[in-house]
This record gives sequence, C-alpha cells and structure tokens, in this order.
Amino acid sequence: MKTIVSTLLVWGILTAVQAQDITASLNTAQTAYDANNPQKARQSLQQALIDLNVLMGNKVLALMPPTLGGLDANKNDDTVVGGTGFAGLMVERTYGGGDNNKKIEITLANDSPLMGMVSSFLSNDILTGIMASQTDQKRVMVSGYKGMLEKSEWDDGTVAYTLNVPLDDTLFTFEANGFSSESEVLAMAQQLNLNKIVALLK
Amino acid sequence: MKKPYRIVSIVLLGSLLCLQPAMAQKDKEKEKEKNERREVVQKGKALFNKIKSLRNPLGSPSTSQSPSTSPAAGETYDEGETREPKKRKLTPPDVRLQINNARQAYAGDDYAEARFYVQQAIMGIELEIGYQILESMPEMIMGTEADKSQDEVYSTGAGFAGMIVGREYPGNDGNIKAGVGNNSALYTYAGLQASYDARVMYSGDDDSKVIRYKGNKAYIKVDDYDGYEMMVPFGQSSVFVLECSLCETEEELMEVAGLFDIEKYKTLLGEQ
Repeated sequence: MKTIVSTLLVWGILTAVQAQDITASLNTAQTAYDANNPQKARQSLQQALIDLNVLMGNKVLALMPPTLGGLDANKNDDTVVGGTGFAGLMVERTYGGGDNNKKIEITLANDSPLMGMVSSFLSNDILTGIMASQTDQKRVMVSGYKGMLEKSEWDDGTVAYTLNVPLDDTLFTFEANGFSSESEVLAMAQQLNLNKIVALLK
Repeated sequence: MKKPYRIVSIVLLGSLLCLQPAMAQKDKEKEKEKNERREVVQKGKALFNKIKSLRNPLGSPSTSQSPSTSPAAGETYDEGETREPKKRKLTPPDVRLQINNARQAYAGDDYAEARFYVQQAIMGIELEIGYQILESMPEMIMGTEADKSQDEVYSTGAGFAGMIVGREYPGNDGNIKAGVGNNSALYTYAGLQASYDARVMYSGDDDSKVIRYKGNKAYIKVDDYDGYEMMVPFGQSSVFVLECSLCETEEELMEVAGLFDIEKYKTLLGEQ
C-alpha cells in the first residue's frame, strides 16, 4: 500500500513539474515574441516541443501491455526521444531478448524517412503485387490499418518478421524475431491497441 | 653528342623513368581523394533534394515555404499558350495565435493538438527569421540581379529539414547561389563535411583549401564545370554555402562572399 501511495505521489509530482515546464516554456515564448526576441521565443518553443514529445511518448508506452507473446517488457530499456530536429518523436520498447531466442522490438517514429516508401507500397496495388511476387513482403491488416509485413530468414534458420504500419504521420514498426508463424506475429501486433495510440498521437 | 653530356642525359632520363610511376601513383591517389570528397558532397546534396521532394511529393507549393515564392514564369497550357502565372501566396502561421492555441490544447490534455500548434508557431518564427536573412542578402552581385521568384525560405517547424534560406543570381554565363541552413540535418551535412575536411583530410591540393573567413573556418573548392564553392559552418548548427560559377578567380569569390553578412545571420539565428 505504502509503495502504491509513494509511486502515485512521485508520478503526481513529476507530472506537475512537466506540466509547469511546458506551460512556462509557452509563456516564455509568448513574452519573448512580444518583446521582439524571436530567437528566444524559438528556443522556448523548441523546449516545449521536446517536453510534449516526451510526455506523449511516455503515454504511448503506458498503453503497451506488460507482456507480449509470453515475453516480459524490458521497461528499463524503454526509450522516448523527443527531438525537434532529425527524428521528432520516437518511442521504443522491447520484449524478451537476452538469453531468450525470441525478441520483439516496437518502434514508433514520427516523421520517419521510411514513411513515403511504406505508404507507396500500401497505396499502389501494382507495386504491392510486384513486391509480393518478388520478395517476402505482403500487405496485411492490423486493427483496421493497412500494414506491410516482411519475412526474413537467416542462414541459421531463424525467422524474423517486420511489420510497418503508417499511422497518420507516425510509422509503427513491429519486429518479431524467433517467431515462426505469421498469424502469431499479427495476433501480437493486434494486442497493441493501435487505435488508442493513433488517438493519442493524432 | 659528347660523352659527359650523353652520361648526364642518360642519368636524367633514368631518374625520370624511375620517378614517373611514383608520380603517377601520387596523382592517382590525389585524384581518388578529390573524387571521394566530391562524391560525399554530391551525395549530401542529392539526399537533401530527395528528402525535399519526399516532403512535397506533388511538387505543389508547401505551406512551409515562403509566401513570396511564386511559380517560375511561363506556365504552359493545353493549346501551347504560355501565360504568366498568377501570384499566389499563403500566409505564414500567426505565432501569437498558435502559442495561444497550444496553451489551450495543453490545458485540455490534448497533447497532439498542442504539439501541432507549437510546431506551427516554430514554423512561423523561422519563416520570419528567414525573411530577415533574405532581406539582408544583396540584390545584385557582379551585375547579376537576384531572381527573387526563386527565393526560398523552407521550414518544417520540426523534422528533417530544419530551416533553409536560399537565393539565386542567374546570369548568362553562370549562376551564383547562396544559402543558409540551420538545424538542418542534411544541409548541415555539407557543413560538417567541410569542417571535417578542414581538420582531418585537407592535404593542400590545388582545387580545395581551408581559410579563416570572418572568424570562422571556411572550406573553398573549385571545379572546372561548377566553378567555385565556399562552405562556412558557423555557430553550433548553421552553415553558409556559396556557389559561384560566375567567379573567375578566388579573389572574386572572396569579394562576392564579403557581400553576405554572416555575423548578422548568426545573430538572427540566435547562434553564439
């Protein structure tokens, strides 16, 4: 009970600090802009953007299940990058790995450079047909969203699946290593509740 | 031929023949190094153009581009008729309004919406800074007028491209192009390459060199086809790039470069 209370207290304090930071950055930006100091306003807005990205990234992580495909989440390795430059918002979580030969890696990347490629694949039937006939790629549906599934097989017989789903301006990538069945991989991806993630990031 | 002269001639000829493969090897290495460097810079530029085209796949004017940018003259219509295109403009984001919207969205726990408005506000500010940089660029260089219809202020608010400001001076015998990039991963790539060359790879060949320019290290190079190019990385994340195919000499390049106020760009971009 004590643990729960202290955890909630710490969480509450952290949220309050973050909220204050974002509001403070927005206020500073407004004041600086009014004082004809666009450089400072820009800097404050960039800070607000980073903080917002981190906040949203943590909310996305909270939506992910603690276990997936019988593998525990490696919460200590959770990554949220909230940049304003090259990558924008990026969220990463892994399940399993280590001594286990099964591993899942989930990445959500906002403004990803791969977005154009995946979207062209999914929106162009001719391209989808050509790719499907020449490579181990195919179009699939996950939680009502179109996705591109790719199967790779290594020399030692290990099979890896990579699923890419464009969600508005964010690319969701699900990589499952050591799982041999496509349906198993899709069922796991289905558990991730993409609708809620989209609603959060939209 | 007298004997001593014959001996001297044979010795000279022998030395020349011995040295020739070594000289040829050195030339080859030099050429290879030049090509590698040229390739790296070209790859950077190609990547940048690719990303730009990806962000604007239909080739339509992006909302993030300068409202002063208008289509190139001479749209061609169905019956071969050529007319001047209408001057179409988009208004840049209203910074105060965007910040207000962001504050309200954030208070309502709508983080995605707040994020969108913050990005718009950053874009608005970057466009303003970009216009100020353009304003301070010269209107005419070496008798060649700036083609303001090609002025470029490119900002994404956030994302790959960062902020890019560019102006062209098209002449009959060649062009001059000037650009300033800030927080732009791909554009800054060129600047980083220059800075890397300056510190590590520069070997003193005759078509590239490193100089100190207005307190910054600058990398200049010359190419028979493209003319002179100058890159000046400044501050923490900015670069000034000048391409001058109109310049006949290094002195001319420096004169042209002197018309651009890098210190002002530094101040406008909030660089130290």
